Amino acid sequence: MTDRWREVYEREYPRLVRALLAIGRDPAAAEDAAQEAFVKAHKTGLDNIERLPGWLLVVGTREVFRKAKRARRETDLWASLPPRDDGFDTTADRVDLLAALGELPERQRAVVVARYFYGLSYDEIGDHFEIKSGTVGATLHQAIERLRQIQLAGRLARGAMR
Amino acid sequence: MTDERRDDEIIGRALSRAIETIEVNQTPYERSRVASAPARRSIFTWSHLGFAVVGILLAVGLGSWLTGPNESQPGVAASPTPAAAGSVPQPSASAVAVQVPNVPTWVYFPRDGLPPVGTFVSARQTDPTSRSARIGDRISALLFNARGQMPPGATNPAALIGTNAAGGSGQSSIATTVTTQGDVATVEFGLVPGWGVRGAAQSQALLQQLVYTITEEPGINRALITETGKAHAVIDQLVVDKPLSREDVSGYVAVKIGDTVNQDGPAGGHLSNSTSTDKLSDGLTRFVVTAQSAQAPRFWVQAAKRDDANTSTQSAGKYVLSVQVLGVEDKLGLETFDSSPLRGINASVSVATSTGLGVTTYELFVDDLRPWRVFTLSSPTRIVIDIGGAPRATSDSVAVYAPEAGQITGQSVAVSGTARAFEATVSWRIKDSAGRVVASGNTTASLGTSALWGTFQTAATIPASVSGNVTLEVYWASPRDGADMGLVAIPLTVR
Repeated sequence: MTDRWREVYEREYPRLVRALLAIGRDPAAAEDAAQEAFVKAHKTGLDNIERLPGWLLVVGTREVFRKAKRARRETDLWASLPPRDDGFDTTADRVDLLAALGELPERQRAVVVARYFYGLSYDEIGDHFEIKSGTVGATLHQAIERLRQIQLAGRLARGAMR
Repeated sequence: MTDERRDDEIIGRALSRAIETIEVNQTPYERSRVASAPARRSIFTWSHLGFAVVGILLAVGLGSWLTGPNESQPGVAASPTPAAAGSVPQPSASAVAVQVPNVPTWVYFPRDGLPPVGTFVSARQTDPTSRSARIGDRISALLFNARGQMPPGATNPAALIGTNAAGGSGQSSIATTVTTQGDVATVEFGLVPGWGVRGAAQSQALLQQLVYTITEEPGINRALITETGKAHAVIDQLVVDKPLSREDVSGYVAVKIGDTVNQDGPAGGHLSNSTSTDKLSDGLTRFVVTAQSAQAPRFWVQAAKRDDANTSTQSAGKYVLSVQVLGVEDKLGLETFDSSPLRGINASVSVATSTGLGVTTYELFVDDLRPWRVFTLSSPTRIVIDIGGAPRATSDSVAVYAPEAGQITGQSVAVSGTARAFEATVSWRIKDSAGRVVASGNTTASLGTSALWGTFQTAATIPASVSGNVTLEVYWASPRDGADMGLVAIPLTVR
């Protein structure tokens, strides 16, 4: 049983912390929420959980938002991103995107991360995040549109400074 | 794919890559919380909970729900005594991880117009040594195991939790976290998408079911139900913002604790006792002591709160009705029942120092403090203790056993029950669907205003011109101003 949990933990934990960090922007809260999500999964039992990754994301997201409400801390996380030279998106772009994500309402942040980072289906997102089925697509599009605008503004600002 | 969708995908994928590059602190498994013993308990599942629940029409005044008396029990209770102990089935032998045995788990189900009914369902037991885990297991049993294990006439609104109110479809998730402090258990529900119930009747039925099931835990008298991140819960439109006891949600009129019935009489000789539940009238539990004497023997009855977590008697039950009778019972010791509200009876005999005669004490362990009454019958000589009844047919001074709510009747209706009425005069009237009185009358009960109740039976005659839905009201008139006292109203259909 321990080995099974180790395997699950090592596979899912890094991805979960990243997602929660992107959603909540607070490293300590993200770690705490991810740990809590695993404890809850453990209590529930692996056999009782279908599609564990999405399950952990929903439970973790809830924890992050709960903690965020208790103490709103703003950290300048995004400046510390390592450079990655893949010739496509520059570090600056990635920083902009993540910063832009942080500007979205909580719900939209979670939905965007669930869709694009976790690859959950519209139906799954609708069920997990209490969004009426049929409006998930619209919510996502709205969120991405807003992301695009914020990112564009960042790019323009950077260009102006150069 | 449209251009718009493609553009969205590109941004989305870029975002995904950006998240991927975030540097995170990799807590190794050995130092993770999941590797060590967790401090809190929670249940969580994905399941299809889409089936409909038949209409629940529990007629309960909302006002009394949140205002009942709450007595606090100081201190944290010790070693609980679960009623299911001793009948634990063997878990199936298999090497698969997370072995959780199924055990008989006591839970409650609401009934239309009646008090909730308790029963055992076979359900998972995660940790029998933890109070929070036991409470969580009972809730899990309602949510996931109760189907097909419900008593006749009962419903299970808890199975709707997590379905959407539009009728329920698809996946749902429910996370509960249980914490206890003193005699209060707080159960926090994380709900996606919601409580699943609709309307006041169904919401109240669900609240009743949860409060009864949560407070089944020994030492826990009140339940606080909250939603994740809030200090309260909103079940459809029912706001729950403080700990509730069973009495707050039972649907019965409030009962004073410490009420005593004390009746003089001769020695009763050999005594025997019997019980019945739901037999004479739905929701009614009757305890009868039969004596050898020509008149009812001397007896004494009192209701008291019971500390069910700290007792030497192996029976569930939050309250105890103590019945002392001058006489000697043959069948002594504890008898437990898999029924509600009566969970067990303990009979013991002592010798009265003043007379040297044997006195039998019957302790009736009951789920809650609901209205009870005592009367005597002759040939054979009996002391009768009636507990509960249909809540809408039960007041502090009138309890109608027949007809039952919703009954279809002819032009003549047999009306019977018990009452404690001024000069033993019990009044009745029948109102048509417009509220007009179409028939009325009086009858005389066997006793008037005394510690003991009187019994009555009469026939109410309805004019031939009246048919359809009517309401039978039974009450007695106040000697001071003629006001209706102890009024109960029972809906009927005249054919």
